Amino acid sequence: MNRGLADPLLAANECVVELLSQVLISGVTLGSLYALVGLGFVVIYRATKVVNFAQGEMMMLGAMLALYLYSDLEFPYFLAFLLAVVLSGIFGAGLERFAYRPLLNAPVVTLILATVAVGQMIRAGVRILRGSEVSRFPSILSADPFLIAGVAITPLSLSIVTIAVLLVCAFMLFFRKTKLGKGMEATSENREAALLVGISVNQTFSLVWAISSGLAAAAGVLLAPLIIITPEMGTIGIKGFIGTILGGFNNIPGAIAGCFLLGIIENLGGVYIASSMKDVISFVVLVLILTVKPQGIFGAAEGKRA
Amino acid sequence: MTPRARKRVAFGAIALVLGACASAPLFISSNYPLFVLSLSIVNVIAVLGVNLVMGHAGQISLGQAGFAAIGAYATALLVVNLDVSYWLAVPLGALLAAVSGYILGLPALRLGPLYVSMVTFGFGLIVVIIVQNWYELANGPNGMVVPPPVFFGRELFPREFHIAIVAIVAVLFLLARNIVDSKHGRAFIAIRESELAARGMGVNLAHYKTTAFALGAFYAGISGGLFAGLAQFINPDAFVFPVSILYVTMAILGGINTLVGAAIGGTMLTVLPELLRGAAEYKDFLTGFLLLLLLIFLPNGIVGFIRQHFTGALPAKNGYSISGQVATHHVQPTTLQRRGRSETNTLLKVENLSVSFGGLRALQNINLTLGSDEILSVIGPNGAGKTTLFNLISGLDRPNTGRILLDGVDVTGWSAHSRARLGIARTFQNLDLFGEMTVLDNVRVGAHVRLKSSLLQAALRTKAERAEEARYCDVAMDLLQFVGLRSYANQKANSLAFGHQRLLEIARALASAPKLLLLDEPAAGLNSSEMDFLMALIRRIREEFGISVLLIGHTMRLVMMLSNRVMVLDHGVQLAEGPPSEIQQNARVIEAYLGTDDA
Repeated sequence: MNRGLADPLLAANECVVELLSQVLISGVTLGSLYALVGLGFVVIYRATKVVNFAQGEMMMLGAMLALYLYSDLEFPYFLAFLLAVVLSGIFGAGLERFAYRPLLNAPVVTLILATVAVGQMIRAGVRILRGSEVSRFPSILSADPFLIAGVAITPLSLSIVTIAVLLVCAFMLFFRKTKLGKGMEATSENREAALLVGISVNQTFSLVWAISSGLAAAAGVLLAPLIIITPEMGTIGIKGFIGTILGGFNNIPGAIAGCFLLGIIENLGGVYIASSMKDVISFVVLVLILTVKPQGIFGAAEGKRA
Repeated sequence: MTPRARKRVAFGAIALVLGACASAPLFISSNYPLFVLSLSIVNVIAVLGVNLVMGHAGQISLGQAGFAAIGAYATALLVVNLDVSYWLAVPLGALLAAVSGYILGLPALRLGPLYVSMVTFGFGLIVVIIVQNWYELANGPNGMVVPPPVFFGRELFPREFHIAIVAIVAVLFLLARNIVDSKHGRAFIAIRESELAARGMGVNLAHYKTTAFALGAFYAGISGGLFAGLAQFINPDAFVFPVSILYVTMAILGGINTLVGAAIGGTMLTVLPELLRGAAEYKDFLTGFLLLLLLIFLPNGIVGFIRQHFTGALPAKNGYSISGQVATHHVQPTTLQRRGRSETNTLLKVENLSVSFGGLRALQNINLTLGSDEILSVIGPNGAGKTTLFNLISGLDRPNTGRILLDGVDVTGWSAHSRARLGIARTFQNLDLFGEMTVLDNVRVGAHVRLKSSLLQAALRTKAERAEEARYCDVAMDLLQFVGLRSYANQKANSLAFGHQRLLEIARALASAPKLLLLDEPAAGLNSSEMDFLMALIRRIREEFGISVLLIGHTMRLVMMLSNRVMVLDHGVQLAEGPPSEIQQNARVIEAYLGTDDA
């Protein structure tokens, strides 16, 4: 479970302030990835009222695909990235068609269990195909830090944050400005009404799952150079969900802020408590926020949650 | 077959299977097959836990392996480090698991399945991380060696331990069955079927949800403790997330809302993978695939499939007929024996009640009094706030200002279930029955607040508990006779015709022997002969049982003929109140209903 994000870097820093800013930066890097996965969670939740337990596995699948395309087939990096995202999106749409659509009218619990089952199949499937050995994604950008105001920043983490933030922004624009995006919003509000005004619910749901899976895959590819790639790395994906709960599920900017916050909290805890306890910390955060302010830090009160 | 006969057959079959299991060591000479059989029984215990918490109470739990880990590690640590007897350590470990389950159930009180699934998933993950990092005591990822269980100073052979496990599963199965068949089991199912209706019937959601989690965790904990004794070695890998999924898949394979299903699913999914002998990833993949297939094609599992296709549900009777004799059925005096008659003449007093939802003022300054033995109707156009008023009186919603007094007791701050206990019962406008329960059990849930047996008494099926169950079963049958549904007692509630469902709601509400009965549009959707029957029924409820009735009516005939007084609501404001004849002449009321000329 110890992913030791940027730990060697931390060891080099002795000054407390520098350490703190370092923690902050790796927290922000991680948070940007949580935001990317978290957005995928929110999209699916808003459309179908389901939490997708396979989201982390989609992320792992994206990383694995990119690794295969880039290392084994020697595709150029950006092509490997793009293909991994597109293929994962198609896979997500396929899952919707064959695994989730038959359960559209089943109780929420059933759908949640279906995503659990799919996640387990992906995890085990990858282990069957690739074995359980760990891989490292060859870094395309240097991990050598340069200093800005005394704080070491690596081109790698800078590019990750930049790409993640760009993707999040692009997606939000899509969701709010395009006809397709508005259709998705409408479908989530009221299925029958959407049908009446000529939105195809099935098509919209396919799209929702495709987009969400693509986002997760993108996060996976971006994350890949930072951590060890294993079939079990999907657990990180759940953090994206926790981040969005922390921020507030019904307020997308808030949810994204929550993801960044979680990344920072986790890294702080990793340094000051124990790095092996990072996962524990995020679940403690989850339980705390659900107990104290279930609508999230930035979310408006909305009565009882779904 | 009647349900009782079916139960008897199932029970005989279970006894037979248990006997076969217990005598298995006589036929199985090698250790490995016996180990697999023992293991499947240990798993069945965990699956029984899944059955109780998910199948019966409807609360999703993805962390059952975490509870098993607590049971296993607590047992191992107690035995190894503190020299506690294994047979004491197992229940202690299970109790610890139950306490964790209770605590974990707390967030479930306010949150839906989405968050509960996250919290339980996270819990399972955390438990594994903790034991992985707990080197000092639990030896981290390398696991712990557990000494073989000792019985009267002698280490047990695997076949002796096997017999002990069979005995334990038999006891646990019996306890689970007793609980499921009691007031408490019915409350679990009621919560699963409709939280709102369950609250209306006086079921304390907080209590029953946490109890369900604690029970499920207890069974998982026992399973974990027995696993430690059986395998004589535990490590964190034995309790990872896929194990929780395996338990759930076992439960669904067998049939998640039947205890027999736990035995079938647990055994099949332990034995089959052993026969396949595949690597863990193949097993995990197939488990996931099986779970998905089951969810899509066989959500009620093997037992559900057999029930549906072979024993056959009782033929649905949809013809609606009311025999004259039913309407004159004499109800036993004990059926609706009330807990003390009201002292004063005023049963219900509502003072200056106001509530708004999201800025919308749903009710403003409502005042009303209801005398004992009175029928008061609340009428008004759609959206006038009638159902809101009912929700405030029954405690499903809270007012912003104002007071509600029942029999002089201020119940404004009381929960719905406490008010039900004090004597408020209600029906629902849109029908909110426990659809998957039988007609009889629906009424028995209605009597929930009158049954006093504790969970422990129910689990042990004490004499007093059995007597109480039998008494209130008679009460329920009596009430079914009263509303004319006696012959439908063993049918599922959702198979009833619409009009019958309305009557069942009334019987269910009466079962609590209320002082005040709230009827929310009882006549909606009924034809005129059904309405006559209903009116006769409501009159008898008031006259023979002395229950005051507050009713929401759309049907003027019903309202005008039944009511002593009528209150008119419009846009959350009290327009008028008085005897029916007066209300019919009231200009403001006519205006509210028909609109003014210039509107």
